[in-house]
Amino acid sequence: MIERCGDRQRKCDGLEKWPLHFFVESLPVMLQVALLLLACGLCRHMWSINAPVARTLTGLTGLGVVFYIGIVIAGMSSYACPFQTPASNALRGSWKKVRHGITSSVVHSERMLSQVQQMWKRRVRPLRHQSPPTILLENVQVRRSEPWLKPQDLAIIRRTNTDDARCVSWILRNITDPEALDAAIRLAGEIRWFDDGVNVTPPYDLIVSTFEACLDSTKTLYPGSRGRAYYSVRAILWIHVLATCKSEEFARIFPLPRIKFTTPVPDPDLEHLYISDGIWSADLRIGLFLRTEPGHTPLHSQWISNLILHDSWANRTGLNYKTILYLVSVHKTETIIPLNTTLNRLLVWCILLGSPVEEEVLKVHDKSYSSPSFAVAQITHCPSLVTAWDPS
Amino acid sequence: MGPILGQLSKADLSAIDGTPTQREFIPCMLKDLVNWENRPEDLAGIAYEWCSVIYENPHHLQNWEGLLLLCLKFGFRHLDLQHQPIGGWVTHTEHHRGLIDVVFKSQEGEAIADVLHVWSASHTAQTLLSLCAGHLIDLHSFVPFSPRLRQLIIRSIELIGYKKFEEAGVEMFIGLLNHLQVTIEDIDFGFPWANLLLDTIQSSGGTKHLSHWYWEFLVELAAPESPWLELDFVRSLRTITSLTETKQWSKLECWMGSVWMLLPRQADAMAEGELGRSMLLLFHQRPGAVQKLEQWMEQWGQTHDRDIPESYKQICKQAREAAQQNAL
Repeated sequence: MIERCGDRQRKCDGLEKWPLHFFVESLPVMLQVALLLLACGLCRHMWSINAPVARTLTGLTGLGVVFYIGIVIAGMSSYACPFQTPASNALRGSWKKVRHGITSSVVHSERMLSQVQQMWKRRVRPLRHQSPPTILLENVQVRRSEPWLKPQDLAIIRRTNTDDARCVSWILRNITDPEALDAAIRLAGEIRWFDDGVNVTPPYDLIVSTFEACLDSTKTLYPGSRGRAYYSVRAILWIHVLATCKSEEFARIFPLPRIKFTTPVPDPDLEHLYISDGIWSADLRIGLFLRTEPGHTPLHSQWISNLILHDSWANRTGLNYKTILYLVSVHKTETIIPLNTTLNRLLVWCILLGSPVEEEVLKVHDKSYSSPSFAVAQITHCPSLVTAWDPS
Repeated sequence: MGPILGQLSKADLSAIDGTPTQREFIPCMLKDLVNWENRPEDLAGIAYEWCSVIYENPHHLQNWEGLLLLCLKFGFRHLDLQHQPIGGWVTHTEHHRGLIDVVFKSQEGEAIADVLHVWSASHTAQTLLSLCAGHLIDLHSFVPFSPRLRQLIIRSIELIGYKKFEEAGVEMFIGLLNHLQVTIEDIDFGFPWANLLLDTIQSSGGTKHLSHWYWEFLVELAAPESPWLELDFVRSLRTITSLTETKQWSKLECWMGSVWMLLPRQADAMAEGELGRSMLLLFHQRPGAVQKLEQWMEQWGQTHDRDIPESYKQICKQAREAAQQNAL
């Protein structure tokens, strides 16, 4: 099985390295161009033979072109449109770049203007012999509010999430292909299960048994099963914590399994997820997370930060602050924390400081799929924000 | 990131008034923020706001002075010295005055640099910066200067100006200047420094205590800045007399160069005559000064496309002839 997976992976890598998709996608474009040229040539030829037939042909060709342009525009305007063409994809990409360029230019100009003003006030004025003005202590508050998560973005994320949940659940229950299973288990640790609109129950028992299957009778990992074990544990923890976010009672439907595997485990990431019910209390998890153990991969750090954020939010009223305080009192400084992880840390600090995490934080950041889930999970519980959102 | 930082700011401010356990988390959080690599610049405004609230509520917090220093550290220490858009982000309150006592009492060089950074970069903090003058003049006696601190002190002196330092004590201020040994590379603009040095030199202890370094520095600054600088001729003559009496010929040489560069176009013959007598005395004591002064004036003339005064040329010619006769 591993050899087969390796072979497939090698082929997949080769496809990406030699951009096969480009050649495949260019075939319909060539067909379309050929059809257009044929129609144009035919029309031109017919004008010299029979004018009424030529007029009909030209009209039909024109209609075809208009229809094609309509399809391209429809595909460009919405990614969800089923009539996607290579042209619409290319145009959508170009439009995004142009829009990004305009936004960057505006921001850049504002910064430049601000700096020029600073220069003028601080540097040029003394040169002009004017005595520095007597400026009293005054309040200066220039903080621009950032845009909220737009309702249409939320709708897209919700729809994608629902589709993913349905898809993952179906694959885990019906498919036996190991590659598909691995991908589904990986995604199971990132989906916002139990959100509004997601009426799919996660195949929790299946994921737990998948993890158990990675261990032999001595509770040691089978060689080559590290990836599946790691992502299974992730999915188990994720589902359990998301259920805790709903309620304590609901979380009991998805209990953390009492599975122990023999330590030391192959890598720090997997070791970090070591499940032992009773020891992994929420306080301990938050404390250890804030101490930032070195050796984790950035992706793991980001994922775990997201998990801990949910965890701390779910347990915010029942946390043992003294335990956390004890655990965070020792600070390790050698670890460089990725930005996304830092943002989640900041939110955890907000919760620990006793502040309700407000709707203001509900902004989608430039993170991978899993990271903004907290924000989105919260916004789904605050529909008033969506309805109150004012595009102006 | 902005909303999250705003949320954190609110959380911290409410925690100061919160339960003891919540307050215990504040130092942990601040230490955590200090460890944050590549901190955003927005933190400057938040940290500054926290400083104000912490100072306002010292009885709520244990070691509140340490917390203030931590706030300064995570808010400002990562900022680039050349980058100065802090002005629009920070809100100055009366409580920020308290930072002066806390920071200078701590004798932590980098914390002092943090405060100087935020106030020197903010055009609305002139008043606060001026209040530091009294603490800055003898700072070198207690705190070793790091390159960052030195640079920020130089910038602060430029912004505060001579008057405030004069009120704090001229002799100590001169001691600070002598310790700093400012060069042309250290300063942002020459005009304020040239003005400051002119005032310092012409102060009571200027001729005696200001090191030779600054007399040469003044010549260096006077050449490009001369069209904008104003010289009080009567006071400058007093300086010449003082230098002659104390026989500080090297300083007199630099001062003569500066005075000639700053002498107004419509200077009367009497003034030039006064200067001439002192110059002849200088050349008699220090024959090499002729060449140096001529070189300075030539550069100055070329920079501003101005003719060197005839009387000046005349004096130099006389001095050179006298030197030749002496040699024979």
